[in-house]
Amino acid sequence: MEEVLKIENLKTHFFTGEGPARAVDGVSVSVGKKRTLGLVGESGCGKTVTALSILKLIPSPPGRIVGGSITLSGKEILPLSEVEMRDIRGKLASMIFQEPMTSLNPVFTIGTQIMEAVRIHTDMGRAEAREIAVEYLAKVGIPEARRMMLQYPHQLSGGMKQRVMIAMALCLKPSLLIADEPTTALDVTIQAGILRLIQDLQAESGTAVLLITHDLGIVAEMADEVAVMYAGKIVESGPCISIFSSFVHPYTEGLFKSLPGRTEKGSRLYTIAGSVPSATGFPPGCRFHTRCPLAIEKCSLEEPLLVEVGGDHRCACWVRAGESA
Amino acid sequence: MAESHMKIAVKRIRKDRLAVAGFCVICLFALIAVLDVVPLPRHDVSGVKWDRTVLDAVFKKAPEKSYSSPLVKKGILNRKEFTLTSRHLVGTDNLGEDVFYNALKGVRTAFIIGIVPSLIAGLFAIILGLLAGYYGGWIDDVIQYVYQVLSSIPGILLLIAMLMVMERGLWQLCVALGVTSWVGLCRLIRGETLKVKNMEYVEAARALGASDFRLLFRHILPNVMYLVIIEMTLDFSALVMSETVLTYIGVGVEPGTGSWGRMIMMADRELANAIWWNLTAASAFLFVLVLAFNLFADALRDALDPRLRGN
Amino acid sequence: MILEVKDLKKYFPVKRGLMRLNAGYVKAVDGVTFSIGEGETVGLVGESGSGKTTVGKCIVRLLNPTGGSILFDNTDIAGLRPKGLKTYRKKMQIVFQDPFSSLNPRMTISDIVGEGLAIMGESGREKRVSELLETVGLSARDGSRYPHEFSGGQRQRIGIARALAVGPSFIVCDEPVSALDVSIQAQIINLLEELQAKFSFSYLFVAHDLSVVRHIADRILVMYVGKVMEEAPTEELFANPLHPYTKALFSSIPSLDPANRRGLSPIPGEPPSPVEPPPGCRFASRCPHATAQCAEGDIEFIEVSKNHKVRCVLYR
Repeated sequence: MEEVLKIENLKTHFFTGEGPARAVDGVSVSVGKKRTLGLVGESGCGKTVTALSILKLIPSPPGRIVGGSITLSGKEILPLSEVEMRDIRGKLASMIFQEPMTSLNPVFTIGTQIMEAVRIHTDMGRAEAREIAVEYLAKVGIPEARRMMLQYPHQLSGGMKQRVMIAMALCLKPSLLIADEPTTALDVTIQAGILRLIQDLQAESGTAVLLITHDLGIVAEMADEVAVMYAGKIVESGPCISIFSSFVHPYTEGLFKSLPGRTEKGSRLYTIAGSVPSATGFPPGCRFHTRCPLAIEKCSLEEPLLVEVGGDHRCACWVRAGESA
Repeated sequence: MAESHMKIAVKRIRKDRLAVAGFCVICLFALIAVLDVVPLPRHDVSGVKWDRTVLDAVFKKAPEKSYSSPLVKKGILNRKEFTLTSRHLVGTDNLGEDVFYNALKGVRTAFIIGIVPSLIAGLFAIILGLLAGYYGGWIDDVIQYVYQVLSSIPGILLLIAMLMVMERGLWQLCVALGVTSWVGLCRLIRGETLKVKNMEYVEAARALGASDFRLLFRHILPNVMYLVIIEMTLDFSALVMSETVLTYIGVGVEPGTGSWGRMIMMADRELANAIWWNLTAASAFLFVLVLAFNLFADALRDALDPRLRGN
Repeated sequence: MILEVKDLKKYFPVKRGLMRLNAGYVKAVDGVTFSIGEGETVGLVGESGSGKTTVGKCIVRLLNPTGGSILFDNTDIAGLRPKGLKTYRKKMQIVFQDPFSSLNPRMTISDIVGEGLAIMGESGREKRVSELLETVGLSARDGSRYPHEFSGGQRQRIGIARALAVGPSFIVCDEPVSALDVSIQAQIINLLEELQAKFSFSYLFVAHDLSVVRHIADRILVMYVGKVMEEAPTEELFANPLHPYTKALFSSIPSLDPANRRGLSPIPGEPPSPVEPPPGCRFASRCPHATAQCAEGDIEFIEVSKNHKVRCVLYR
């Protein structure tokens, strides 16, 4: 299986007045052709920073990619210059964001925006670019695509805007699509349509998808592989089915147990004690140990490594790796 | 430890060294202005008079006969030299008064002109802006009509007209400037009020039974106040410079009040005779104070703007 | 019954043109009827544009209803002027969705939580505020701090403390956990349930997340473009959804079982605009079972079995 995206030991830190915020601190994941990786975590875990790092969109002060390597379709990304990156963004890898309201420029028609995306990366004339735009608008399920080209973003609903974003992201047939919480701002019935669309387009063109979300339900429906992030690190990763049926890491366990859908009605929901530490003040050793019901002494001293717990399923936890107090 | 917004703003400003330098300069000038406000008694033939200030006591020198260059011992009157009674740092003007002393006297005027009109304008702008933004409807229409008409009249003409009706004077000038310059801030406050009144915390207070008065002054005003502060610090420079211009065209403060504007106005006639020190002193003081305020105001603006408060 | 809502309507006028003439109405809520008993939690679910938030705000009189009645403790508060509402403000309160805009950034926590008491003119505020902060899981020392020093979950707790301060018996929870992470959601839901057990509150729980509503609500109303489409006790609704919209809603929810993917089957089309909606059933344009009957006049609420009502011609 060809690896479209390979991230190894990525470290992206932010240098603020209060000390360095190690938002992403040694993350390694990969996504293959036609595969979907679900990167799961709560707010503050570093998943969006990981996504922005791939396209080198980290605001540079105060942030900086300080280590690791990112390979996109065999190309090493980190040494590239800004000019070379512009060639990659939108063509080799594209990204769609959470808020369709603010991702589209309100003063241009949607047709103009898609055509602009096409013409930046190719030397097509306006007529050719227009045809591609119409083709993709139709592909993403926008009715009367040719007429819709002349609409402005404010005339469209949230779901339609997100479809336009997807059209813009995929019209140049990138190898990788990064979707950062693509449906969080949308209703659940619209969400189903967007996710289905991503799946269909993926099947058609073999795009690899990095799906970033906090919603385990979406992950269950869409992802082939899952990586769970906490405090800048991957704490568990593996095939989706394996993670959902036999999660190992105490944080993953906590996430699943907190779901109202998995709790008997009338009884208290399980909660993970404490709250997510701020990126400037991670605890020593395992970053989860201050909230973990299983913590032993070693957890506060050394950071656990990702070890295999069975067939590609990995977990970073001393206790689960067999250490005892 | 509670981190009030004031503390956060101060922390941010401290990081900008130029702004801190500007602030120190402002404090220095403010000190001079204060010295010029504190009265000292003076014993005269007819009894005790209170027309002296601390500044006068420290810096006022006996007048010479006429002009003299900085730091020289001899002056010139009708082509004849005469000896000076003391050394003057920046020379003397046509009345023989110490130019440096005159420039110092201008500081108090500058501060009054820079601050008082803003306060007056602020009062109008806050009340009218809040009411227009909060109530909307006909109240908004009326207030907008008023300020649209007001802003359609060229400011300078309105000022001159007002000053002709009132007598010339520092306080009259403050009132005139204040009453003609509230429109911009009013528009800003109205806009921000429109935004803030729909915030959930205002709705929450309404659900608790808060009266309109409470909503306006306890919830909305504190959240639009940053605009007022920013505007006031930015306007300081403009107001100080406008006094200069107004005095130059003859409608500024009355003679006898310290005024850099008057010093610059006199330069008109003096420069032909190579007498540059009046103009230089006034311009230098003006430039330094305005620059200090601008540096500080920029940093203050960045520190107070809630939108720039990112993580 | 602590609250009875009868045929509640809220229309927003649409003004167009130079003279700001009325060009029609946005019928955000168009005839909603339900009641809530003491200690009960009723869930109000729907998507954006369904009118569920508008219903909540009308009940606490943040919005003025255009029609219908709201009987609270047997008094119709729908038409009361602000003076008359003062006593009712004590009895019903609201918790908002967005923890970041529901607290005044310029006020300290004790001022925020104690504001209701200050408005009602009650004494002993400081003590009561400290008690409330501890009740919601914060510490009394937090009173002197400012909202920006707290996380989303903590701010929601503060919002809840503020609602509790005046001693209400009924609370509208307007999407109180939608903006929070899953593990924090669990904490806040637990808190709401604890408080209900302790103080016998009744809740109107407005939400779009069905699994949360399933956990906390005794009864559920499903709204679509201003009208209630189905009403049933929680488990009955999930076991036996009747309305095509409810069924479509349930099938859009991703399952948590990747080994048995349900497959996403989105509903085609988009909801109609609530500005002068088409006559008849508002779901007809997207419904797989729509017939000519669906476009004729208002569809009535039909009681199919005990406490399970549907607004659909299929069940006539």
